[in-house]
Amino acid sequence: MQFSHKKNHSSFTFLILLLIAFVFLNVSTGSLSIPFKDICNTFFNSSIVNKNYQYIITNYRLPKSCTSVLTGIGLGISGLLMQTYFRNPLAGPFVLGISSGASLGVAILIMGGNFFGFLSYLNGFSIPIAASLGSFLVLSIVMITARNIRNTMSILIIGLMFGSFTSAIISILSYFSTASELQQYIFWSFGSLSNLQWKEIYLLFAIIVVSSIGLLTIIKPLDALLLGENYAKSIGVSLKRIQSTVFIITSLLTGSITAFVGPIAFIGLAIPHITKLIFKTSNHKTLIPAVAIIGAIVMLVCDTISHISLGNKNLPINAITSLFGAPVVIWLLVSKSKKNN
Amino acid sequence: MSYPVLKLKNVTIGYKVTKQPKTICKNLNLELYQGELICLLGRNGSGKSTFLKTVGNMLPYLKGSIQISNIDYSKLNAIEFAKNIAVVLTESLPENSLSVFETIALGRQPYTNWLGKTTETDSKIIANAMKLTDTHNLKNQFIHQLSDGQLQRVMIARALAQDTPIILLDEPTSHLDIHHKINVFKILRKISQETNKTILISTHEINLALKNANRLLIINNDEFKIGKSNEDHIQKNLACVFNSDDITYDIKSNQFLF
Repeated sequence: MQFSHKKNHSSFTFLILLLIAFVFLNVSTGSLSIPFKDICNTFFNSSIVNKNYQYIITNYRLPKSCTSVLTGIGLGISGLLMQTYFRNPLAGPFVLGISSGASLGVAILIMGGNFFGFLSYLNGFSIPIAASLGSFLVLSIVMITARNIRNTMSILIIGLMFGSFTSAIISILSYFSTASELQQYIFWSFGSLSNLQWKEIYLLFAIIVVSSIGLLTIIKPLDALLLGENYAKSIGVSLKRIQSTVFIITSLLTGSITAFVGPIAFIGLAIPHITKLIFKTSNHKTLIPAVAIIGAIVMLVCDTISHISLGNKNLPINAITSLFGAPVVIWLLVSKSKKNN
Repeated sequence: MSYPVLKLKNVTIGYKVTKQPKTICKNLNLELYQGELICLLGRNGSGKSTFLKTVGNMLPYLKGSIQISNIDYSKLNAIEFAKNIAVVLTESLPENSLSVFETIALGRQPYTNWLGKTTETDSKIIANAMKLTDTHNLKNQFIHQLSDGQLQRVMIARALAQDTPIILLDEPTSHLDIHHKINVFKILRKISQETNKTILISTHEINLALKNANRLLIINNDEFKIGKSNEDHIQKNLACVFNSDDITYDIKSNQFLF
């Protein structure tokens, strides 16, 4: 035990250093190359830096890095919570219908004009609001349907069914929409980390802080759930309370992230797997901070790749997360089973 | 065997199927004592699991009252139940990377703080649980690496670590070979003698039950009979429940022949 604790400490130190390094790397890459010296000076001694550089860094690159970090933390934690709660490695932050709800809200806003006969009014806030309303609506329907169901597997399937249902509605809307509306919707569904101003980042940060406080109260029951619901109940866990806490935290985190940056695929599903393969534990006291840090690192890497790969054109973040993330998870799983044999 | 740990008074047990209650047994009166090893015997579908789930507070009872150390079930909250009754279930564990030590330590959850930090007292109790079940050498292995026999001992150790006056086990020997079956019964008997805990096991191993149990609890057509294996009415009920063309109860040697 002693040994593994020490090992965890050094892993955490290493990961935090890696995170800081990737924040610098992320800030220093982009269509305009800014000397590394100027980047350091922006943080530590801003008076001697070229005003243009400083403007780009504080108003464009740094917010983007912060958004990446917060998105990675939030989606990583949500994914872990869902996988532990449902005891299913295929569960992710979106199984409760949050991303399908957000997509539906945004699809109706952008493409529903023709269909329902209203004029779409788009500004900086209308998309996050439509996404929040949509996810809140679908999430509530899933929750109400699942209220009296004790079998967690059925809740999982209900979530998936609502996903297919909403995507069917979106298909119908797309069929009747114009090319430019469709393009606008598809661009939203690619996800974007660069739309957030500092005000929104503070809001996202506050939501993550509040959720983390909630998380502290369920570390123990989450560990108990590793033995299954009946054993958890037999050691004093209130299944109703843990269910509502897990669902509220996940909806807060994923709901707000989806509203601001779009439906970021894959990260929530993959980060917990990567973390478990690295730390080889199921203990949530270790796993929760670990998924947060690893989630942040992976998002930063994906964001960095997305804007260095094609010169001054940014690739969609959603494509990058899956394109580079999926092989990593497959590789980790294959090398793990090789070791076991 | 001084005072009754568990008392059932006029209890009706059963479960609800689409709002229609299905009754297993009415007016059940029972008292289980400290340090007893009791084996629950009955055919498949006779209600053994329903009875265990009811006593383990996983299923509500329909009428009457059940008391632990003279406190009614209705007055106990989840944590107090966890401090009174530990269970070993038949269900398989979800996939996880828990070590044997961590699994056993989970039994201390009703006593630990909000982070689940184990104190020195907790460590002593865990160490003792590992000693009684001979799981000390498995401590650092992952539970998914264990054989069925090892895993069952670990789950018994986990229940022991919960430090409860009562332990319920639902068919603890069902996947095990004959050596491990005997071993599990030996461990359970040792625990009941050394720790003075009340242990209630549902089992199909009638011969091992006859040999090891202090008392037998037999379910015969919706009726519960409890008593020592050498008592007349118990032997009659045993013969009545299990005798058939293929298997007979031999009173002289006090075992079933097949």
